[in-house]
Amino acid sequence: MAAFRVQMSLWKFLMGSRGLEPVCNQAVTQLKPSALLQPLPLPLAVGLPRRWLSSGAESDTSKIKKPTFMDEEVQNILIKITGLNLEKIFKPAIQELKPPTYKLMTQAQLEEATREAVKAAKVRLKMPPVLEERAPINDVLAEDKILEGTEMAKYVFTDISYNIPHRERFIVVREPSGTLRKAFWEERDRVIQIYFPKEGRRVLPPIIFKEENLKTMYSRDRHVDVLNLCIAQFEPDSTEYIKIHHQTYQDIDKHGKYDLLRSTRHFGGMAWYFVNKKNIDGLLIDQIQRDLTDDATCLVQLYHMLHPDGPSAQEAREQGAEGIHLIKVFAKTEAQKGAYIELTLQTYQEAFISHSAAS
Amino acid sequence: MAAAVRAARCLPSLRGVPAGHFWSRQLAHSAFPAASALSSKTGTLSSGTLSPWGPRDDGHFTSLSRLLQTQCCVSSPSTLLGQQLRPYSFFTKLTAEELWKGALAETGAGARKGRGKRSKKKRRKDLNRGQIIGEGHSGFLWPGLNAPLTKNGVVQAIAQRSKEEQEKVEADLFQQREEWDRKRKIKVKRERGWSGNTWGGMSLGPPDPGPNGETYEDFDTRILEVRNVFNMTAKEGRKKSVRVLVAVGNGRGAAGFAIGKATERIDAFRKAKNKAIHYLHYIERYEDHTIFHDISLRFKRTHIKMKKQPRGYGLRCHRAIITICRLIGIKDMYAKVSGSVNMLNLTRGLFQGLSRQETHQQLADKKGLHVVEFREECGPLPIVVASPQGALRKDPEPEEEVPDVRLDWEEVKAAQGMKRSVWAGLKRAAT
Repeated sequence: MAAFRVQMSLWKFLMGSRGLEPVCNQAVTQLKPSALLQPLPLPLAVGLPRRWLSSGAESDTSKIKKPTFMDEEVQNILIKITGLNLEKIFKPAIQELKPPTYKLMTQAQLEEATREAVKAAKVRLKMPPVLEERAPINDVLAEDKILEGTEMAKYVFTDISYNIPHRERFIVVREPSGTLRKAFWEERDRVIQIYFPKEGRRVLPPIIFKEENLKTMYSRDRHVDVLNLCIAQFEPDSTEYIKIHHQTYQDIDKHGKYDLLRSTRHFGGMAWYFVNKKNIDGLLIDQIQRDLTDDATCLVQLYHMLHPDGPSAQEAREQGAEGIHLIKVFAKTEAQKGAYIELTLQTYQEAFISHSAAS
Repeated sequence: MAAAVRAARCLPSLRGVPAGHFWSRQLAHSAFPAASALSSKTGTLSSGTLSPWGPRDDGHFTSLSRLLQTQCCVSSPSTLLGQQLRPYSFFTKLTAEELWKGALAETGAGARKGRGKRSKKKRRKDLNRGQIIGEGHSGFLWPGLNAPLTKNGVVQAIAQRSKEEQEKVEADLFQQREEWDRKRKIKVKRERGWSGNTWGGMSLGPPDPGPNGETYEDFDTRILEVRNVFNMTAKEGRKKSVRVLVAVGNGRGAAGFAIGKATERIDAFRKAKNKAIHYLHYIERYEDHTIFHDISLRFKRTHIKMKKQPRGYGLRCHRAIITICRLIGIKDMYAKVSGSVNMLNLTRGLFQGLSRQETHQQLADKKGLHVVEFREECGPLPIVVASPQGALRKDPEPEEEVPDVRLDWEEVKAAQGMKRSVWAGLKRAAT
């Protein structure tokens, strides 16, 4: 925190001496190495260091770190349960059509082409980051009562140098009351979009993110479109992004439309959300009904990884359960719809037996 | 004849009828049954208004009408104003048939050899329409003719209408005749083909059913060309014949074309329609909306270049090709016709080219390789459209860096941006 205060005083000094210039290169170059740590989180590879910071006090009590979204094991499991349905991933995009091209291929060439397609699909399925909500900025830099009443509107000063990361940009606001404060997150996003427009992002959030319109989209099963628009519009750690994602996941859970997100890049995030909320029953039932028992077992394993102190994890460790048995253990111990899961498992097993007997 | 004259003399003339109009000669309005035989000969000459012959024919007939006016009225001196009523005149000596034959002049040197002008054609009109035997100007009610014979079992006596009633009845009849004439004048809207005055692109409905009861209800026929061709004969000289090129199709791949020739246009249509249904081609389509691959062919001196297009592109081709493709069921295609645009050769070339398409399955069987489709909108996903039914060969198709394809100079110019044509890329209505 001390370092932070030092930075702020330096900043104040610089601002005061040079007057209120929108571009302040020198200040930036001086402050960049000691970039503002709080409240701006570091991009992407966030989880581990911050968790270290927060749980620094209790490091002695629990040696095991809680797995994060970006852990390799977690990612592997999530990629596995997302599936890889090429037809769905490469669904015809709505664009201007051109006549198709034809190639004559041998079996080897065809397999090669399929492998290329799978590689491209994996790139498309890269999951967007799941971050914690960013803390709001409430930082006042100067209180100049002398300026009160001189202006009628707020003035926003932005540093538009090209080679600074957006997270480290200085954006300050001079209110009509004379206070010079750092811009809030929403203001920052808007101003950065004005000066550095990003494709697919609007300055003001489109009306599709209003409640009624979201409900209409959900009723038309367009959850994927909602999530894609959300990713394009908002930053991953902003309040609206997280709120919309959670709302979408809850709607999917309510209606059991898990299959809409399968083979998209949003499935991992959804699974992560459910596992954190301890609400994987619906997803499990859906997986078992679609004969994806391996995926179901992976999901339960993920659950145990995240909640190792829960009753089902302990049961499983005691019994050394594997495969379908693991799901049964989970159904017996921690599930809300345990009976339903067991029933579905039973039906699946009967069907499996009869099918294998027939064939 | 004399009796008729006397009877006619008893008839009062009509009043209140506007000048220039014909009025009804109520020759049949006689109490004498003997006169009825006579009236059958002359009674056909009675009419309502004469003016609506048709707007073109006014000029020809005002003179005639005036003539008839002056001749056909008895000048009861005090009451009438120039309206004459003649019970016996030239018009009473001939039947309506003969009179019309004279007036219309359908036969004669002017009508032969195509000398008759279209504007000089007159149309016959039945002047006795709306006439009821027994109705007359005096308004007598004759039981059995214009009044019921018995009422409650009692045979009725001859009565007379009041003046107002009679006027009303006459006015009604007049209105009715005017109504009929107005209805006749209304121009019926007829469907147009490629443009207003051409027979190309017009539909003739399905072909006639065959002798063994087969119907062709789902087939539609479209005219492609109507041409008047002439042949020199020994007796008449130039003899006109109508030659019609027609295409039929059911929108599901079966289509055919034929020409029919006859002296009359409608006969030629019929002949062509019924001949075309016997010469059907089945044309393979890719996914029922377009051709399998680009085709460029030359038939006699007609060059046609057809390109495969994705869904929603529409038919951007020569209007005849659009018509034929609609009959076949092709919905998206681009075609360019260069060289001769002779309709028959165009059609023949088109059908030949479309019939000789190579389907994906045939190509796969021929080459022994998978036919794989790559679509822009689907990214790098390979879609196998056809696999060889026989053996699948292991060695791949040799691919050169520079493909051994004959380039089309027009296409190269368009690709390089050297084409300065106002018609290229012009936006038109869909399909």
